[in-house]
Amino acid sequence: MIDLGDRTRAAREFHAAGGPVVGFLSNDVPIELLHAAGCFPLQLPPAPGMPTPRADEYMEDLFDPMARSVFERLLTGELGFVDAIVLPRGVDSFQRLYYYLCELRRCGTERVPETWLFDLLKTPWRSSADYNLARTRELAARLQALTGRELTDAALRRSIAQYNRVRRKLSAALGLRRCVPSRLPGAAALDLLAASQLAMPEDFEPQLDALLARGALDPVPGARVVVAGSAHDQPALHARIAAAGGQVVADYHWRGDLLFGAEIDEHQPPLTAICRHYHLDVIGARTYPTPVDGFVDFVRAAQAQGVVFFYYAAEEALTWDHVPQRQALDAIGVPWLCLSMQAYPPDPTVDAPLREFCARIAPTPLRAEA
Amino acid sequence: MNDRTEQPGQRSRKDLACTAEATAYQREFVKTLKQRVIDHGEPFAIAQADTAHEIFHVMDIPVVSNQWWASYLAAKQLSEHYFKVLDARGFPASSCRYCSLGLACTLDADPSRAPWGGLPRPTVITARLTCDCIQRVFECWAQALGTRFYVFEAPGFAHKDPAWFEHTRERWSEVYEDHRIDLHVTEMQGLIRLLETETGRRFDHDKLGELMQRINQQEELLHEAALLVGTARPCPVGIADQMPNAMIPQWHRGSDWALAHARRFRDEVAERVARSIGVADGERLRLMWIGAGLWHDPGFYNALEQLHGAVFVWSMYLPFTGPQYIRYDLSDPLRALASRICGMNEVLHLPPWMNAWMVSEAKRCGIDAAVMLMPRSNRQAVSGTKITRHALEAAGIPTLELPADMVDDAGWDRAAMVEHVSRFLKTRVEE
Repeated sequence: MIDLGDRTRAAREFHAAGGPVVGFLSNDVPIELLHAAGCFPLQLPPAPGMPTPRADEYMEDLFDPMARSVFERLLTGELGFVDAIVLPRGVDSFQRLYYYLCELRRCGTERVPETWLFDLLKTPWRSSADYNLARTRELAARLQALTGRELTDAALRRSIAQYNRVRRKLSAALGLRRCVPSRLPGAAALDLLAASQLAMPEDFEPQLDALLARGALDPVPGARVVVAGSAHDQPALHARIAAAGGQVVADYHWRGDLLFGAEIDEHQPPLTAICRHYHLDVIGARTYPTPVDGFVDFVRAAQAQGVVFFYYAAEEALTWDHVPQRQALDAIGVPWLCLSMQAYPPDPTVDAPLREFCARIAPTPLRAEA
Repeated sequence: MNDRTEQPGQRSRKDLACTAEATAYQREFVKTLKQRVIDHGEPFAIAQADTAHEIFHVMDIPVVSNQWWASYLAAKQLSEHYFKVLDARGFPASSCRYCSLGLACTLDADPSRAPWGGLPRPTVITARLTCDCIQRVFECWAQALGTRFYVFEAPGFAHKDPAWFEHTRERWSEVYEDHRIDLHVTEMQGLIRLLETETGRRFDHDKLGELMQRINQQEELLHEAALLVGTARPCPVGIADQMPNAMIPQWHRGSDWALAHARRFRDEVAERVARSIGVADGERLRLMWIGAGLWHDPGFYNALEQLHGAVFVWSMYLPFTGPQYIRYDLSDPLRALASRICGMNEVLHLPPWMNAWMVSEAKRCGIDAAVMLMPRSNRQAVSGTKITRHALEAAGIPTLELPADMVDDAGWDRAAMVEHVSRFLKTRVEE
C-alpha cells in the first residue's frame, strides 16, 4: 500500500538539491516549525534487527532500542546527509542521546551532525508553558540560522494548515481500520503513519488522497486488538498478531495513533499555537499526569476485543502505566495480554501467547456496523 | 575504633568514631519521627535527594530522603521481599529498583517487617522529574500513602561547561543557566505556598539566608575533608566511612548537629592524616568507585584490601560537597538554592559533566583504577558511564564495569564479584 523500502530516499534527494534536512525523534518535536523554516523534517529511521556495535561502545544497555539503532546509523555515517538533529526532552532515552551526541562532537571523537535539544516540559503548569514558549522561540531562531531565511508567521500558518490537512486525512485513513469490520490491516496502517514522517507533507498528502479515493476496501479478518506500551516503528508485532488470528485496529503509542495529536489551532498566533499543541495536546512518555481515562476512551473508540501491552526490555517508564491501565480494562471487561521484557524487533517468542490470546478474545466474529 | 557488624549478605567495617555517631543520629531521627508526626501532629515530607530539603528545614518540617530510605531497606536485606511485593502487584519486571523500593515498602503495609514500622504518612512527597519513570513511581506512592505529590520539572541543559566543578561556587548562574534557575525558583515558591497552606507555618526568607550560610560552612568542612582524603598517602578514610559522614549531615544540612558533625569528621580525618593512619596496611592501589553505594553489601569495599592492598579512596558523595553545595553569592538565597538543586542529578550522570569531573578527580586523587556500578534496572544511574569509561581509560585509568544493583541483591555473589575485580586488577593494573 505504501512503499517504505528506502526510508531516507526523499530526504536524501532534498539534501542533494541543496535543502537542509533536520532529523528528529519522538512525537513532540514541532515538525511544523521545521517545515516552515524550509527544512525537510525526517523522523530518523532505525534499522531494527541490525547489530549496533558502534553505539554499544558509548550507550549503556537500558536505552530505548530505537535510540540505539538511530545512534548506530549516525555513527556509521548512514545518516550523514542530515544537517542537524532535534531531540526532545520528553523521552528520556532521546534526551540522553542528545547529550551523548553533543559530547562526541565536542571531543571530536566521532563525526555526527549538530544536535539541539527541544526542551519541552510536559507538566501542565503555567510556568512550564512560559518556559516552553521561550524554548520554542529558541528553536525557531536556530532554524533561521541554519537556513539563513526568516521564519515568518505566514510560513508557520501555511505549515500548520498543511499538517492539519495531513492530520485530518490520516485520521480518516486510520478510521478505515477502526471501523467494524476493519478495512485496513494494522501493519499497513503503521506503515502509513511511518510514511508521514519520511516525506514532505505536500508530497505525503496526495498518497492519503489516493488511499481514501479507493472506495470500499475488503474487510480484514482477525480479533480486534489495540497495541499499547512501547512504540513500534515497523509492523513486526502487527504481522505476528495478524498471523496469530488478531488484527491491530489501533496503536496506543507515540509511533501509532498518538503520533500527531489533535489539530493545531489555526486562529492563535502560530508559534504560541505550536507550542501549546506540543505541550498539552500530544501524549508522550512524560505527559503528566498519565492519562488513564484517555486510554480507556481510546480502547472503547477502537471497539477492541482485547489489548496487547508490549514493552521492550529497556522500557522502564511505560511499564508503570500498566497496572492502572490494566485495572481500567478489567473494570470495563476488556481482556488484555502483557508481553514485557521483549526484544526489538519482536521475535517469535511472542507467537504462542498471542495465538492463545487471540483465540480467547474472539470466539465469535463481530457484526458489522449498521 | 574498628566496628564490624554482620548481617546476612552484609559485612561492613567502620574505622572512624564519628561514623557511629552519624548513623546513631540518623537512627534516632527516624525513631522519633513517628512520635513527632503521629503523636504531635507535626508535618513531614519524603523527598528525592535532588530536591530542596532546605525549604523543609527552614519550616522545621522533618524530611526523609527516598534514596536514604531505599539504602536503609537494602542494608537491612529487605529488597528481595519488597520487590516480590511489586511483582505480586503486577508491575512488570523492568522497574527502576532504587526509586521504587520505598514504594514497595509502603505497598507491603506490614509494620512488623518495615524498620520502625515504616514511614508515617507525609504531608507531601516531592521529586524532580529527571527521568520518565519517577513521576509514575511517586504518583503511585502518593496514592498509596494518601498524600500529594509536588512535582519539580527537570529541564534540559543547553550550556555545557565541562569544567563546571571549578565554576559553580561563584558562577553558578552561568553554569546552571538563568532560565533553568528561574523556573526552579518559581516551582519552589509553589511548594512554599503549599506548605504554608497545609501547615499554617510561615516560610522565613531570612532564615533561609542564615541556613544557606551555615550550609556553606558545613560543605566547606566536608570539602576540606575530601581534599585531605584525596591527597593523603596512605588514604586515611575509605568510602564505607566517607559515605555516612558525608550524606547523613547532608540530610540535615545547615543544622547545628550537621555543622558540628562535619567539623568532627574533618578533624578525625585530619588527625589520621597527621598520624599516617591508613585504611589498609600496605596500601598499593587506589581505587575509584563510580555510582551509588552498594547498599546491600557495603562490606564489599573492604574485600580487596588484603588481596591487593587496594583501597576505595573515592566515591562521589564526599567530593561532591564542594562543587555542588557551596554557593558564595547569597544575595538571593532562593536563587542560590535553586542553582544547587537544578542540576544536581544531571552533573553526576551525563556528559560532559560526569566524565570531565571523574577524570579531574581521578587525577587529583592519584587513582590507579576505577570500578563502575552498572545496575540493570535504572537508566539514569548507568547513563554516562561508558563515555566516562572511555574518558578515564584515555587518561590512563583502567576502568571496570561491575554489573550490580545498588539496592537489589538478586544475583549478587560477593565472592564472584571480588574475583571479577581481582582479575581486572591483576591483568590491567598490577601487570
